[in-house]
Amino acid sequence: MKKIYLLLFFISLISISFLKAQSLQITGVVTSSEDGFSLPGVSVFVKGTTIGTATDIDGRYSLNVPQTASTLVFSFIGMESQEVAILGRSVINIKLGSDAMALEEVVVIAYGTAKKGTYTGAVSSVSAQKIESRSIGNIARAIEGQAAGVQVTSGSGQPGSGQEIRIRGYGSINASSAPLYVVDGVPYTLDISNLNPNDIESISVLKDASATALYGNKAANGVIIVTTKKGNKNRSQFQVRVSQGYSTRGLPEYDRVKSEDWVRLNWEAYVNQMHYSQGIPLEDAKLYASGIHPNQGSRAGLFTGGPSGTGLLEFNPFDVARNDLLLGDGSVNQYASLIYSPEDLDWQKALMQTGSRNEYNILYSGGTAKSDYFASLGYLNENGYLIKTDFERLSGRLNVNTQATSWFRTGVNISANVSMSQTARDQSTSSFVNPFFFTRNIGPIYPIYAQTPITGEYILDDNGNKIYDLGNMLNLGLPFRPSGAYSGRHVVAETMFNEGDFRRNVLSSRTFGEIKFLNDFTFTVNASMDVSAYSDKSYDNAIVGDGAPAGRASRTSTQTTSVNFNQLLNYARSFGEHSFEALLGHESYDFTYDYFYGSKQGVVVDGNYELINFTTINSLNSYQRKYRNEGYFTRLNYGFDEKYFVSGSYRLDGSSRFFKEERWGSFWSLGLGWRLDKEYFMQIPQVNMMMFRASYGQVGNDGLTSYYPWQALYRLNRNNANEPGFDQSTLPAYDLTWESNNSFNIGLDFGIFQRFRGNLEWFHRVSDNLLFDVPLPVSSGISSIDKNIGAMYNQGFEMRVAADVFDKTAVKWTVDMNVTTVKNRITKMPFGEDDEIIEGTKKLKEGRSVYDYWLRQWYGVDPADGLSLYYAQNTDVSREDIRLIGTDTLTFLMANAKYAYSGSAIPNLVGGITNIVSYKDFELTVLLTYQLGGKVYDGIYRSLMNYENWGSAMHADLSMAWKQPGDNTDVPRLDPTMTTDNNAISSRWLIDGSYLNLRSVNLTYNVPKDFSKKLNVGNAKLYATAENLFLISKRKGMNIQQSFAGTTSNAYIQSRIVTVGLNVSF
Amino acid sequence: MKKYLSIIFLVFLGLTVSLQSCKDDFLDLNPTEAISEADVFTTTSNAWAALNGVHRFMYATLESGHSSHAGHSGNMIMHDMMGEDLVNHDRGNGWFIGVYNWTSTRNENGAYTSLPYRFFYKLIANTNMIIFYIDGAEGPLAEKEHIKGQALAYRGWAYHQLVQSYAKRYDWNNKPNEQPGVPLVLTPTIAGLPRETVEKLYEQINADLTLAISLLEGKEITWVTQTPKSHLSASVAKGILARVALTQGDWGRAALLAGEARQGKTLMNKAQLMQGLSNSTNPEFLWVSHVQQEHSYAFSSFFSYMTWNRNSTNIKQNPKKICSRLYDSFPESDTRKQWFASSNEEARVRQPNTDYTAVKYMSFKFMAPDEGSGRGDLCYMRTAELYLIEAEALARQGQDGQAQQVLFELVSTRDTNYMVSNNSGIDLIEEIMMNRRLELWGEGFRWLDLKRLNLPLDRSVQSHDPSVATIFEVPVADKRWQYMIPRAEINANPLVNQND
Repeated sequence: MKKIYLLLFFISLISISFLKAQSLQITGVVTSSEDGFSLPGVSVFVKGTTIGTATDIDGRYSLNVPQTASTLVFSFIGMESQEVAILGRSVINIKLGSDAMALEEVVVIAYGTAKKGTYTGAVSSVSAQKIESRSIGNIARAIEGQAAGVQVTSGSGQPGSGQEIRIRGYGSINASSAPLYVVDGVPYTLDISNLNPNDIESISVLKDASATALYGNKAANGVIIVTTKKGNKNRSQFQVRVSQGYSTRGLPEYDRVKSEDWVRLNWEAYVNQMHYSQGIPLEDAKLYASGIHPNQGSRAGLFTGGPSGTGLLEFNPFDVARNDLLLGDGSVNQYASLIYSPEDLDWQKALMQTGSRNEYNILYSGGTAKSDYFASLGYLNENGYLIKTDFERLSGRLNVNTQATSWFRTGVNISANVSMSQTARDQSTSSFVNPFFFTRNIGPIYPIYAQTPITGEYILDDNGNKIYDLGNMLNLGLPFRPSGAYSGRHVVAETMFNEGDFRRNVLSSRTFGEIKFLNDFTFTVNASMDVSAYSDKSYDNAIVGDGAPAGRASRTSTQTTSVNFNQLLNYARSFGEHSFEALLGHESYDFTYDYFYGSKQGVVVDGNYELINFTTINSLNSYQRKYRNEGYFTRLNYGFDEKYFVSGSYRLDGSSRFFKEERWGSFWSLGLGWRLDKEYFMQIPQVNMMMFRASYGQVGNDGLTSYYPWQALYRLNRNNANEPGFDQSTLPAYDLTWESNNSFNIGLDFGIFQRFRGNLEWFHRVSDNLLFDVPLPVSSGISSIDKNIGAMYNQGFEMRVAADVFDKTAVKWTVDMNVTTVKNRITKMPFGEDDEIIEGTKKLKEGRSVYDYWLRQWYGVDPADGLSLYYAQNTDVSREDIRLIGTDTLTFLMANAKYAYSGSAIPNLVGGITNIVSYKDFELTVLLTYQLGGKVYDGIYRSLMNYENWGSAMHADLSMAWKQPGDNTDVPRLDPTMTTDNNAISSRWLIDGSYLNLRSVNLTYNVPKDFSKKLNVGNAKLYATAENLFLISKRKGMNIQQSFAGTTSNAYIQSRIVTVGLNVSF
Repeated sequence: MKKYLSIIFLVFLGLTVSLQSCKDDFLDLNPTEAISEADVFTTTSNAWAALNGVHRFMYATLESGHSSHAGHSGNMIMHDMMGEDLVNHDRGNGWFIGVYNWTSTRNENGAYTSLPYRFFYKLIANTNMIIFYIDGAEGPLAEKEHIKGQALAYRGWAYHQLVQSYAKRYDWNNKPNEQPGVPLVLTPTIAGLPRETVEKLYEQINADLTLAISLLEGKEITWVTQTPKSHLSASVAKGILARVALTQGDWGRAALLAGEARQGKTLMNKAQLMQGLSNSTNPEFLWVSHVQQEHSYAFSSFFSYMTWNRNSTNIKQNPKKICSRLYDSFPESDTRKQWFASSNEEARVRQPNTDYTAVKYMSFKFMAPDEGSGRGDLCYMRTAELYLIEAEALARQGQDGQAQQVLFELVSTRDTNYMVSNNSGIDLIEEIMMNRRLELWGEGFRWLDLKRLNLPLDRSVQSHDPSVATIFEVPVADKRWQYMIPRAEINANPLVNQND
């Protein structure tokens, strides 16, 4: 019924009769007051309406204005806006002066655009200019450091990958906290790396409810609106962009000890183990470890004896016999030298290359009086610094719009692209095929290739090629690598022999029809369809690793189809000092995900990893998942005297994720704006612009990973051999409904002293009815159930200030910086005050943040015996593990260590600083990003400090380990028997997460006009750009921004990319 | 006017095209990879599928990413790892080494405490659904009884497994056993229940299995050809109940039930003994999962740890050995000795590849039918065990003659030189137990036997390597005989308290 009423309402609106409109045409030229050049792309609007156009390449415009119109507004990014009274003229030529304040820019908002000085919501935007100057393949990377209120992860070094983004804190605990991407007015659920950054006109980040509420159902975590380029009428342009570059690893490796030091540390560890854990006298232990004890017998030394007879470390990397290798003090015989060259042992280098980056784009655009077009073709080919990783994208876009009749406008925006990528296997942090895990953790005496002991000669195959030493080549007379050095695995060989790549074909289309009628009404129908066909192939070779000996291959094929329709009715009108805009809309969204997976083993012939080339099926499945939602919405904007603005919106949304009775949620917002600078009392020259904004509103979140969370289900695919079978998977959740996000925002936009501009914001964002994945007793047989239970808030300040340090001199320098703080607190847990959920290193509890560490409390190292001490949980002094130091009751047992909160991963401050310095035809842009405070739990460092299995790599800090009674150090005794207790997960591994990152540097040379004219080109620009030049932090190698949770893992480290490029337009 | 007409026309066109979504059922969607719970117990044929889901549990991974437990096989491996008869040659790639040293089962956050717990309770939850709803399904009564009987047998078995790992042993000299067991969940519920006493749990286990036997009596699976032995028959239920009686020290019932259960069942001949114990067609297998290639789990399966020929890093580097004392106490004429390498020079230890570690005492008992995939049929009960239960229970009652005879029937198929034992009393019991240890080596019994008989762990004077095994003795009173309750249970169910 609701729908029918709405329909009737639409029709009644349309049928209101109205006076016939009369209009008048105004033309003119806009030029720059500085150099007299014409200004293309200047927007020309009738004040208080959405009627407007843009100037062509010669700065000309032509606009039909209603007779009631009195004033035209000319605005252009970087120029001072001008309002000109029409006074009956049909030709209006004006000059625009540059305006550093540039506050009157137009920003893209939900279902429309707005001028910044009249808009009540919190928005940050990133312009095409800023995207163009970066060598990024994924536009998600354009946002870091550019917008206040935004926090990002470092992202992977995998070519084509993006960065995770959080806007104003962490919106949900179990549902999604990621923002919504909207591309050309439609929610975009495909991979954002499909978009060619060269096609992007602007990116707007919508942060508060006033800005996002109209996207009600999906906007709980903010919205990133991406708008692609359009042609300009009467201004045709042809552009060629070429860039070439290379990439290297963007973060150094952790400090790890080299071969001889490593052997000595192993010796120390083994001596400690025998002496302290097995009670062998120290002097004997030293001789045993060296393999030279008179009663050695079959007892293992480092290089002799043991189960295999070759000692604990198995490989002898030196050119002397095993028995003569070690002296009684653990040092290596002075006559011994390494048989391996540094390259033989450098596993990381063996997998690295100098990556490359080539990008070519052709863009052309233009238009006639009635139509405009934009077309682009792009090709990007990026090779990562890790071998067999790349990303190749071919993309095309066509955007054509036409004013079909005086009242009907329509257009299509179609893009298609093909992406192909070979990907690194870094998904699991401790998998043997993960290049970063394996190369980081293998001990520094194990060679990549098979080499004869003592002589070090390469062992060659029949063709004279080197052979990979798989660490289990008994048949070549080589030992097994010990378990800490992953015998039988070989990440270099596996990376070379395995295959893993995907191809994605994407077609994305948008179309609209817009009818203007009765002067003030616009009715728009938007339709879109995004289709993505993704196919991932993977091959595990038959020689070494998980696929051996048969060889196996898999194919994952998915198709994503999303169809969106919306209908918008706009009404905009100004009466004297009143301006009024109303929007009514309906939207429906249909998302389909088709999944197919097949895996086979038993490779038939080498070099073909299509499934047809394998003998036996391991797995074969497919399914389809669907999601739909539907919404009705309205927005009313009212402005008075260009001083006071009110904006309200309401949206009713239904989601297929919830049960019939619970699926509709209503969301709303209210925003207020006040242009203080237009008040008479603020008419002072120091204040160029000042606007106060406040908003409050509510948006929803249904972003659960499950598509059917309300339903009680038995899952298929549980057959017993050939007998059909299924089993219980989820419980019913009929009362499950929307998580709500209620946010309050106050903001101040300012421009002062002709030099500073920016804004200040304070936000308080409450997530209520959290979609909580409530853990159930394991004994219930179901691990968890989704419930709307719990609440949390995010609160913080944001500030952006841009200053023109020098603007009237030959050297111009602008600094644009932003700062954000976020405080996150859980205010309600599912089962009340005492309820807590421990997940990894964190504990969720009322009064705590989602990223507060909950860890064993490490005290230090006992100088007496070098054991790690923890604050004790059970402080009964009669216990054997209890030690008293000063007033502290301590334990060396992990099991009795006390847990406590230990700070948070959430930083105190994050932000970015952009410096733009220009001199004559040169312009230098430097982007720094930073974080202050927040702790990192460095699990990678722990794994390098935790020597448990013989053969694994060690961090250089282990040389500071406790050695003898009385040593004061914070590195416990090196002793594999005690390593579980000594190096338990605890507060010891937390480290300050502050950093400063030189994120991007760009130097551009604008070829002077008179010179470029000689070359017959319009504009030419040469530039050099670098990403991720350096990062300063507390610990070398640590990837601080790896996750919002502050934990580190073995993943593809970000890359450093340096490119040079040329943009020429004709 | 014409203009307005066309506008209205276009508006309507736009609306009709795009408001199609406004149908009432636009937002009603159903999955394709699952079926609604409401449809599960409508008919017996659907209920059979729910029961097959339980059978599948026995060999499916509970969660991806953990490579030790494919269904019940991980629990079986744990029970041998924690005994003295299985020797790890090397730390290998580390899997199960913490279990071998009895530390993993004492880590309340660890996978080795949570995986068995979750496995059995998920299985119980599925059987509870069947037991609770099956009577309302449409279909022949005999089928309902058959389904329900199997569900009850599974539930009884699962609780028996749980209580043996997570509680103190059943002490038949000290009844009733009031020590805390595990939560006893008998209906579909998500309310956390407290730990029931061990005595109560055994009552319920007995009740479930007794009822199961009566429901399953006379029922036969005839309609499946490939997997009949994955279904629980009355004799398998009796065999399970005989195991229960054995842990309760009820020798009379144990002997009776085991004797009934083995009626008409075959023992392997010498050739079959050496066929790798991985094919469901083995005549001695009574309860076995037939694992198809498509359902095998590469590195988490039993065959990726316990065989000698599966191409897994764990096996290549850490072949599982038998302890020398057990091996050496049997005569050369016993075929079962051929399950293990007599020296590292044996030709077969160099198979299938020379890069596999080859050592004396390494096991050849289990063979992976497919080196490349870890596939293999997994057996949970075979005839020999029933003979051994019967013999042990008879001997412990002092019925030596009958015990000697039952033992002879079994061992003579293994060793042609074997004569009826002339041992009696303690010596006879010891002989039966030694046979049990050899016969069932690697099949998940030893630690449970130590615990039920209140014996300490004693790995001294055997072939355990001190650089791999860090513990050699555990006294009977040690708290490590109980696994820790997983922290996840306690976090979500405050009524459950931890083992000390």
